[in-house]
Amino acid sequence: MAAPLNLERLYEKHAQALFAFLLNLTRHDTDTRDLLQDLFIRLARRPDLLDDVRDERAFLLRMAHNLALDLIRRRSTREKNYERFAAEVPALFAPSLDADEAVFRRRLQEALAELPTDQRAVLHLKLWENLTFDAIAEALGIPANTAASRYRYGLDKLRQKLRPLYEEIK
Amino acid sequence: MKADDLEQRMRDLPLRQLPAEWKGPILKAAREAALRTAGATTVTSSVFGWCKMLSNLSARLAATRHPTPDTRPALLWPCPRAWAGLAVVWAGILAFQWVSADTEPAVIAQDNAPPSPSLLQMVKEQRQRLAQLTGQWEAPAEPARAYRPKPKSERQLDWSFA
Repeated sequence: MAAPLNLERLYEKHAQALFAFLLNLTRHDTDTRDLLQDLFIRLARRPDLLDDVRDERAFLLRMAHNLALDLIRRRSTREKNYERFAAEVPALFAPSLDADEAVFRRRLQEALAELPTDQRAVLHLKLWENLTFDAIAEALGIPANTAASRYRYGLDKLRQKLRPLYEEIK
Repeated sequence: MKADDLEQRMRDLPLRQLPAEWKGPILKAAREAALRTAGATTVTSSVFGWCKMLSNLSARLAATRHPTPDTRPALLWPCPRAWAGLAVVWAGILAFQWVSADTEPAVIAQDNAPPSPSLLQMVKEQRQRLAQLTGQWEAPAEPARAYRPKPKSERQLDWSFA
């Protein structure tokens, strides 16, 4: 039987990144917490999962992505009107004291929420985890070209949605 | 808007912090799940461990036929423990065989050995003497002749004289 994992070390090192990624995908605080807990429970039950892993962060992001997709599929069949009745898109970014900056951040997270999940996932890993397209492809189980395409399309859509705000702020 | 502006501006945005109060309950749930899993799989993991050890051993033995620079120095690790475990198991099997081999044939021989003819004759004679002494002995009657049919030619002869 494999030696027990140092869960605390894994939490300290990776939980913040996993939280931000899951929040961007699920856009729901409670679901994010449930998925994060589910992920650590799976690691605790199967400590051998990380035995031969070269990049812990990429492996855990992949686990988080798979869990989020499962949840979104279950959610879309059960709660077709979930988006309509959701109170607010949860905050993805830290709050800002500057009014213009606060408006920009809120509009950005709303624009991100309107993107398809697969584009949102690639954008997050590229912009905030600073992964290469090859690493993103490995984490998400897609070809590198597909990762690059999704990133390009997602970024273009964000530019279109935010253009009026950006020009207004300037 | 320049193409790189939005991208760079988004990269520079600080992400929301993970709530600190989540850590305790999440790790607690994970540890409890690990304990439940460890308790449920103790027996199966020990059997699986033996199988895995034996398969590793066979892989290492196969490697000795075609040793590579990587396998030769690793051949004896972690084999000492595996070898010791196997030796204990074999010693136990051999000890059990030896112990069971001592008793069973003798018991079978004693149970199934028939009495010798001389012994039977001796018992018979003693019974006769006892009977004579107690007055219960009677001369044994002539044993009845077993009926043996004669050949047909002799039978016809008998009929003619009857």
